[in-house]
Amino acid sequence: MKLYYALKKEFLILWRNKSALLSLFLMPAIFILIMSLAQKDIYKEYTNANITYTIVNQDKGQKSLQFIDALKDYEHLTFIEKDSLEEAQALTREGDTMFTLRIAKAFSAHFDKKSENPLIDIYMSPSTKAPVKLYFQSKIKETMMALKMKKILKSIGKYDDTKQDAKDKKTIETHYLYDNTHKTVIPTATQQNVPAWIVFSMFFVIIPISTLFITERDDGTLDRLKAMNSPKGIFLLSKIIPYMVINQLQLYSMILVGLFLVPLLGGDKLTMDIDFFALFVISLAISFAAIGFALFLSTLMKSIEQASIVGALSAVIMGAVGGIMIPKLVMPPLMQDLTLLSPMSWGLEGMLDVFVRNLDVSAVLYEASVLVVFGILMLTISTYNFKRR
Amino acid sequence: MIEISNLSKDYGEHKVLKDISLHMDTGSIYGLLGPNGAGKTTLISTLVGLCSFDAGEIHIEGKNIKDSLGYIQSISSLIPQELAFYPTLTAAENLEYFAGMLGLKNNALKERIDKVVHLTQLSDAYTKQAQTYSGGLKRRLNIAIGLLSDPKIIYLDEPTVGIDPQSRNFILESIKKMKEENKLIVYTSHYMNEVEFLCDKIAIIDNGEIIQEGSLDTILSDTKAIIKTSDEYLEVALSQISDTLHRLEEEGKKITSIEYGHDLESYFLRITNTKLRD
Repeated sequence: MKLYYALKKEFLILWRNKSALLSLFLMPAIFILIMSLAQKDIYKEYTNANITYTIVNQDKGQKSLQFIDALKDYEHLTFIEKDSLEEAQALTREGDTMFTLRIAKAFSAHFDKKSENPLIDIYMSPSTKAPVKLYFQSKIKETMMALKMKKILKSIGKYDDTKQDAKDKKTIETHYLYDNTHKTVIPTATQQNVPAWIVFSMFFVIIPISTLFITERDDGTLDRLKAMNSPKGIFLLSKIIPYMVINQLQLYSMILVGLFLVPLLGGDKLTMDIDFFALFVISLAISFAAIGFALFLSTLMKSIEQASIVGALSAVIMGAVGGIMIPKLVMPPLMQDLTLLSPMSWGLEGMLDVFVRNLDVSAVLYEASVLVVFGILMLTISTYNFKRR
Repeated sequence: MIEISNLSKDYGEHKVLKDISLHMDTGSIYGLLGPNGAGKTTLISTLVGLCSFDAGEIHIEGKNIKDSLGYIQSISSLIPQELAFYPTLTAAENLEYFAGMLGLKNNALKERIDKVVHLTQLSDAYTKQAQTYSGGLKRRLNIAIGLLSDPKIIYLDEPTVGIDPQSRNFILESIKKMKEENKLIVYTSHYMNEVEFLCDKIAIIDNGEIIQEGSLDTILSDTKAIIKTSDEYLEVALSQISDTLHRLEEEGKKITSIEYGHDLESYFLRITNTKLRD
């Protein structure tokens, strides 16, 4: 019964703390929306991306015309032709096209010979994302190679235009490797962002937990409870259980955002063909680590203001280091090693195992164990700090 | 009921309680007076088991606090100076929570809450959030929570700070009634008139030491007169006043004032000095 009254009190206080609820539910929902929509093209399959560019053909020879003709085969690469390089560059500079492709005057003449000068120049905005640049470059090289190959095969009489063109249409197909091959999770921006911001928001319980704890400590409520011989275990559970429930509510609210709100605003829909038990296990472990860390901070901080600032700051730093804001895979090796220091990184890896890699519970056990050990360590230090007062 | 013998406590080099010995009886109100930082709150915290101590012994109802802390806490209640409850909860929710933490449930819980609500006259504000209460109402809720366990010993740490005269009067009268129920009330306050009104016995504590203890009558009849001349400050027994005045006259000194018989406040200031304490 004591636990019932303790939980009831904790839920009532949290329910009436509207600013805390906003930071726990609205903040991650906004992040998911912004990031999923903003990063939509980063995670998008570039074979399906629509890249527009301008061609300035300064050659006009047969080879350059064949080259341009071959480029038409890429249905997601659409181009317009301009005579003036400056005009084409202006379009790219202003963002109307992503690239300007200049075919040099010597293109046809030097097509299959060594040339001192480049036969093709590509101009782009400095803000062009590296994957898009690489994709575009590879398509241009691929087209050049195909033309050269065609010429060689023709010269030795092995090329049949009618058959080869049809076969060349699609020679490469990309496949994702999943543990459960019957499942089909597509690694979209939404699929990456929902788990990332769920982990981040779960750690935001630091603020309401530490704020209430410090209030209880400073206004004498904790002393009153201690003088009443109220069990410490009940007090601890009354801090852990409500926020585990809150974290679960956050998890499923953010999933709903990914399922309904993001697609409504033009983003990719979250795919939920996942192992729910694995999700439950890793989310509980993240909760435990977050609550442990919150209590650890609570016992260290001297005032509510200090706890609010340090709590929010530590969540943001853990998020940045842990790969929430910048994906771990684009970090240099040293930074990738540093991510291991952030509990958010372990949580994120577990969540990505579920949401992106589509793995089952056995895959998340390692990350979950690390998080639980972290949580136990934090709770132990908090208990020590609290008793030392 | 409470027997404290040679109690001492240190915070490193700083001695906060120095060899304190006190006796407090059931059915009485015991006043603990002292300037800020004198050691009153530390002493109360030690008596309810919130603070450990380095030397001495505490026996409550004949039981050693070190061996029977659980029992002693079950018959004691600390009503702290701070408003130790949840401002976003109503009085009903606060009382239910603290009663629940005391292990009360079902009918026992309801009956006990009804009783303390009646005692502290909280019924009008019962379902409103405590943060909307006036200072007096907040103090009454603070006291109501402390009475939930129907304690034998109540430690009241400055319960009338920041409230209007009506609420103060109500609280003081309620405390007198508690005494009639044969409880021991340990009362600290900076308001000397309250202490004079309520307490049967007082102890004045300063720098961790008991510098005066006894019944209010005994302390106030500690009859020394203060004679001030232009260059002298003399404390003399009443029986010596005549001789002293005669001597001063012979020495040609001009007497500027004679004080004798005093209230608690002037006595308190005299023995604890008037130097500011923060």
